[in-house]
Amino acid sequence: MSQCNEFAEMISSHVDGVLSPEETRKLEDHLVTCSSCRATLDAFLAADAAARETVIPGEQVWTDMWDRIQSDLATRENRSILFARLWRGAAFAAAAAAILLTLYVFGPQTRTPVDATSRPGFQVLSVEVGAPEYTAVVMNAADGQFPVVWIERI
Amino acid sequence: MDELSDHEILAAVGRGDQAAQKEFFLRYRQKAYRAAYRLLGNDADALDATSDAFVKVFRAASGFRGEASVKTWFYRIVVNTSLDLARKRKRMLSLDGPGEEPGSLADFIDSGQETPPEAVLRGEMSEKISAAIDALGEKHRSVFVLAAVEQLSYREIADALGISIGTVMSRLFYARKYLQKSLSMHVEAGDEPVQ
Repeated sequence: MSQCNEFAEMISSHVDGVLSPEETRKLEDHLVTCSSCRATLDAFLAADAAARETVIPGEQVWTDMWDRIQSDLATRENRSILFARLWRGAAFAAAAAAILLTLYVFGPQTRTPVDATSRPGFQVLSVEVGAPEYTAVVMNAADGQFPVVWIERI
Repeated sequence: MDELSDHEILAAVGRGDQAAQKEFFLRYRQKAYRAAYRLLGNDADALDATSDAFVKVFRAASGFRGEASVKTWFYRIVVNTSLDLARKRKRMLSLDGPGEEPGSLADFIDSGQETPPEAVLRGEMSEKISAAIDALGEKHRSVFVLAAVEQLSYREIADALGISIGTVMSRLFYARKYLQKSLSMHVEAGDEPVQ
């Protein structure tokens, strides 16, 4: 029986067909005389065979799954596009804020009210901060997708 | 499309080719489901994991550089997705208390899904083996499923799970020993599940 310990892992490898011819012969010789190891081999083979018995879904299940995968991919794609737009918008807004802040801090403190009608096709988003020579405005383009930073020399 | 290799199909999937996605799905859907079923123990979760795994594969295909084989890369995603779902279910059960029993073979038949007759006859053994596999820790379960159910080589299992071949052999042996005992072939009282 103590000899069986030597063969225990070999039996598992034998089930997977990875023993060398020499190891296989050695194990088979042992199996002839050892009922305990034969029972182990039978049990390993039976467990593997039982585990392989899986009920495979029918065609309708696969069709439904395929539709679900496509729908999931489309939802994630739309979400990615939305995030990309928001991220781009946030980047533009941050750049605009930096420009406005720079003008506000380093330029003379004069402010001019925004005349939105003077820029047809744009929706003005932020207050206009004027410097002696430059004016910066943050506004939305006509399609409403991207904020635009507009800097004019007066 | 069906004459293309797995690498070629996956490259086409990475370029957004929907026909290639379909071909990849047809090639791998049963393999994915079978592995997920044995890792999760019921068909509802196995279907969820299979579906989620394909979504991950299609989204990650453009980043596949071919360092591993498509098969081992795919099984790694299936195993990780299934084990993530198993952990999520376990957390939900621990919060909600005992829930519904996992889907049985009878439930599956009632749902109108196709069932091979031989699988019905062996249903009792299938349920026993499901319970026994469930009792294995996830490391041993993953190795056993990839070896015994999917019949991957030790090298492929090692690549898919990121472990050595020696660890594959050791985990597989202990998983089989535990299954042997829990299937009452060599019953010894007081055996604890392999973790």
